Amino acid sequence: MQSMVQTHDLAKTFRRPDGSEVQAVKGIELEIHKGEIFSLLGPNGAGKTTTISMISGLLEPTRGDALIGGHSISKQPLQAKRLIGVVPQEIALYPSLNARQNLEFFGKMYDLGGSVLSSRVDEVLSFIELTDRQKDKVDTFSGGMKRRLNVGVGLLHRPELVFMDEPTVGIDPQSRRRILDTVKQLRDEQGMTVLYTTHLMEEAQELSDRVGIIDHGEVIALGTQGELIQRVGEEDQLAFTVGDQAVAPELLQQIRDEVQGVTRASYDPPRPEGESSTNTSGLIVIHAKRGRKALPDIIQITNRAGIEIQSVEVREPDLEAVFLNLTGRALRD
Amino acid sequence: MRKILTIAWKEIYTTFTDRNLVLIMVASPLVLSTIVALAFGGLGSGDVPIADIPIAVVNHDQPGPLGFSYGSIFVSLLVPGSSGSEIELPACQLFEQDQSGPAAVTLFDLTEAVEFDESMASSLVASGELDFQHLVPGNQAYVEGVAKAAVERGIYTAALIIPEDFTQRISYLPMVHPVLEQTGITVYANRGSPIASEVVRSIAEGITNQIAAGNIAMASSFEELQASFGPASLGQVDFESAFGCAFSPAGNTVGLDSQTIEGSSDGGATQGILVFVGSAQAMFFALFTAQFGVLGLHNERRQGTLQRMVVSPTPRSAILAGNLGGVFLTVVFQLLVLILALTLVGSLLQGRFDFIWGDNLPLLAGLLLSVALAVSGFGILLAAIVRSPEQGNILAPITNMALGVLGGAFGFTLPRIAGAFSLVYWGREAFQKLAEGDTDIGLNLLVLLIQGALMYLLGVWLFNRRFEVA
Repeated sequence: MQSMVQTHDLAKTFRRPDGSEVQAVKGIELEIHKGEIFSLLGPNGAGKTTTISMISGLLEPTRGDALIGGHSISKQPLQAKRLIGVVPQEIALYPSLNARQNLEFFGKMYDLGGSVLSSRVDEVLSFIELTDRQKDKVDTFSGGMKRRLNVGVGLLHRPELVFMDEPTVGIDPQSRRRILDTVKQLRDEQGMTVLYTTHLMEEAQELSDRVGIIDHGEVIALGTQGELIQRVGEEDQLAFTVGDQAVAPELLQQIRDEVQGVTRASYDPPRPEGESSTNTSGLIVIHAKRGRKALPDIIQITNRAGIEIQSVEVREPDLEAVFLNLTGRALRD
Repeated sequence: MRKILTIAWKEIYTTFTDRNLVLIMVASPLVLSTIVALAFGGLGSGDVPIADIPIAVVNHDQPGPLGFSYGSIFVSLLVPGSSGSEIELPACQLFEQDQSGPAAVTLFDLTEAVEFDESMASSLVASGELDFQHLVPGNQAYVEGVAKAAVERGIYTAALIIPEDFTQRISYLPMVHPVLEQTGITVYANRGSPIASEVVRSIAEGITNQIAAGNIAMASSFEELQASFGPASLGQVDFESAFGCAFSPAGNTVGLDSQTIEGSSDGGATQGILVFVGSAQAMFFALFTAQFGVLGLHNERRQGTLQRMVVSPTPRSAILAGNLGGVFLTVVFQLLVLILALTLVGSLLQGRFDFIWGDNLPLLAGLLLSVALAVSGFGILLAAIVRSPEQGNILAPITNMALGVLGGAFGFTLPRIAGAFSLVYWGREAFQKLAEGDTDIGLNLLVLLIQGALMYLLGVWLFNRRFEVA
């Protein structure tokens, strides 16, 4: 598979005003394939933006390098930058210019001009559904419209590679959905490679062909979602709703002993109304490898004990669980 | 190059579509200049408080055939405790008013005159306040030259030069000097203080008129004496006691058309004020424009648009050049607008079109470009020093006020040695010189260009070193 981005020992150290140093990125090795959506997932402050800033040529690495389509971002920055489109985390637009003027200005920064620029601007305005508002100043736009225009500027020159740095931060669900659909469209219809950073596990799960999990400036896991989950050996979680029936500890021990793959079993009794809890029914929570396989045996044992199962939920492991497993912290911590 | 122009155009466009910036750049100096013109230019009440006008009185006059010098009258009337004060005029106080009218004002209240002789000239040159090398001490031309230079530098508002044969030429004495000849008092006036200069000119005119009137009175008295008592009677007269009051302006006013006023303007005091205030304010506000423009880079960084340019295939040098180019052109445009608007205001007050900035348009254009370079250079230096727009917004007014004070932007001038550090001084002086028709602004242009280039280079170097884009 042809690679679009390759980083070698990419590192960045910042000097604080007091003279001390902080290593924001600690020698990252990454490879992003052409035509894939690659998500860099990590909590706030993990080093996602610093990494993307170095790869896009905004920040000079302290050491290491990144190749964009074979061009070194340090040694051949102009060639590398031609291939890149950047959608920054913040709205990076001129508020006193209208939508069209913003697109035209940044288009010229990518050497577009004349009729080509004009037709690309029309195309992008249509793509981000702002054709009707193209003559309006950006400072009159809603947050969602600004976000869409922010994305549009990054796509104007039809880049081969798009960096999207948390593009859905602080917007309404409708605009967020539109942006996520746009990202998938870019890959599916235009064959673009997308490097997408987020701290939202759901977005990474929905979009990504592959995921890199970054924490404290290091990529701690890299692969497809399935590979990552498999790599950490995460268990399924089975939740049985049992109403207000009492569950004896012996039953839980029996499940642990007799059902293959079960590692943990616990009972969460129903809470009286008024208490700050969501479960008004009792819950048996069982952790098991290959949980679906264990399901019939567990139901058989509970039936024998006279416990009537009202509903069952199988929660498969996700990237959140992977992150938790790798770092001992939740993504949102 | 295309990208530089695109960035520069964006800079100009966003600046001139920002109402607040336009207000600061163009409207504020215009309003200020108009207010000053209305206040001092004849449309207002005209009650301008004038006091302590510094005057240098250069008296070369020698005693005439009657044994005393008319030049000493000037000195005694203007300089308290001067060498000419031996002429007592107790009953003939100048500007004496009717007691029932407004409070009496004397020349000593109005002026602060010195008898400017060679020792004063030499000490002024020795102190370094004047760069005066082309004449050597020991003659009248030296003293006059230094006095004139001191007026040009604003140390004195005006210099009165009384020639050596002043008394001789206007003394009438039958048998000895039986004719009255033309002579003149030369007044060198500073264009930067047009009202004060006008006051000095009026004072000189008033005194000269009285001397002429007194002289004619003396001449007719001599003829009466001679006719009644014979020529020998003239030797018995105490001239000072007898004719002292004849030199008071309270006496008859007979014009003496023999004075030369140099440095006066064609368009009158209003134009002079407009030039002075306008050029100073143009420099002052151009500083703000340049600084706000370059500080815009900090705002661009904050709003992310600078980063967006940096990640595009646009060299950083082109981004900086485009931004600075935009600021430079904005300043040029602002100066042009101000110059034209002040011309319009001046013309309206004058009642006819009058281009108040002289007729050397190529030099004026050169001056505009030099000023724009200098203020932009100062802007980039400031932008490189500060860490945020907020810091810049605090530091910019402070530095501009300091430069404005040093450069004489607020109606008073400091010694040249202090002003030389301020680009406001060099720009203001050059504008005023051009307005007076004096094209000798080579030094001003050179200093502005050097200051601008140095600040540009230092600013860009510091900017590249200190300014973090991400």
